[in-house]
Amino acid sequence: MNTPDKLELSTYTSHHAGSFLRNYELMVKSLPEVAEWWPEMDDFERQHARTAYFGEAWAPRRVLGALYRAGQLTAEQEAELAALDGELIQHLDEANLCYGLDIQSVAQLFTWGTPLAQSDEIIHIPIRPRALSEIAPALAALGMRET
Amino acid sequence: MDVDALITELIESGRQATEDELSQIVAHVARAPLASHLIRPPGWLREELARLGVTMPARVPAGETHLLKRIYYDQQWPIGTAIDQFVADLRLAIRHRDASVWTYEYFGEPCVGLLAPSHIRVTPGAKPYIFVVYSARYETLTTGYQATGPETVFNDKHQRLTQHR
Repeated sequence: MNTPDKLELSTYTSHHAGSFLRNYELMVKSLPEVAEWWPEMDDFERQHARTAYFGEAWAPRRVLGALYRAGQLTAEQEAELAALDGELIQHLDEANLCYGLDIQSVAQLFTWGTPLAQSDEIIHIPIRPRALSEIAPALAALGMRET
Repeated sequence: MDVDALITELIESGRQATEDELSQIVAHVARAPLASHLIRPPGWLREELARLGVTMPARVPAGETHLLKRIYYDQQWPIGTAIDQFVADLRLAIRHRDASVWTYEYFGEPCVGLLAPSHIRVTPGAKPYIFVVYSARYETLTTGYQATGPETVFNDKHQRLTQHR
């Protein structure tokens, strides 16, 4: 059995990757609507969204990253993963509201593995300045200069 | 101490459950109903199911949403599975002698998660295990689905995670 700490990638088939992508797609595509409903949702409905849409997608997203890095995704799956990662990043503010994802979660996507890392296209990351101030020390430690 | 209080105490203390406590928890979770609170399924999911000829109302009991998703979106349960059969399948997993049992907080809610070898093998989306979640706050089963293992179940939002078996 794979554990959260150790992945044996040979146990995953292309069909598994497809099902992981399908749940990731549900999480990303439903995010704007879930965020719109969020203020009027009660605790149960919020927890349901966190369980059903986020919970079934986020741990498999980590596995998808490992499969991508190991070259075990098809070209079509890679393209789909890139598109969904890009869409999630665009909706980071909603993802933060509903699922607590933040700029560190975006970094996590790149650590796990994402085809977006090969792209030179500009992406826009919605981020609140308060969050930037929280990660500034870490960025500075990586060698970024203060102006 | 009632079993839901025991689950919360185990999470807060981080200690291992005794064999007797574990038996109480499994028996308690196996008696729990599937969540029936009404929820709004996202339009995107409803449209996906509509493409398959399945109508999902704007508000549905949470358990029914799970079942429809398991049958038509995930293809993990056979078409025609009734809610009673789905719950019976989850309870079979809960009572499985080889089921792994965890307690944890998920976004602050006390939960029990059980992962057992799956007995549903005839569907296109079948996976090796069935994962079932019990909420000690709502005293219901909040989800159940087939999974490849704990690595595709637990994420960094599962806090104070303790495996008891």
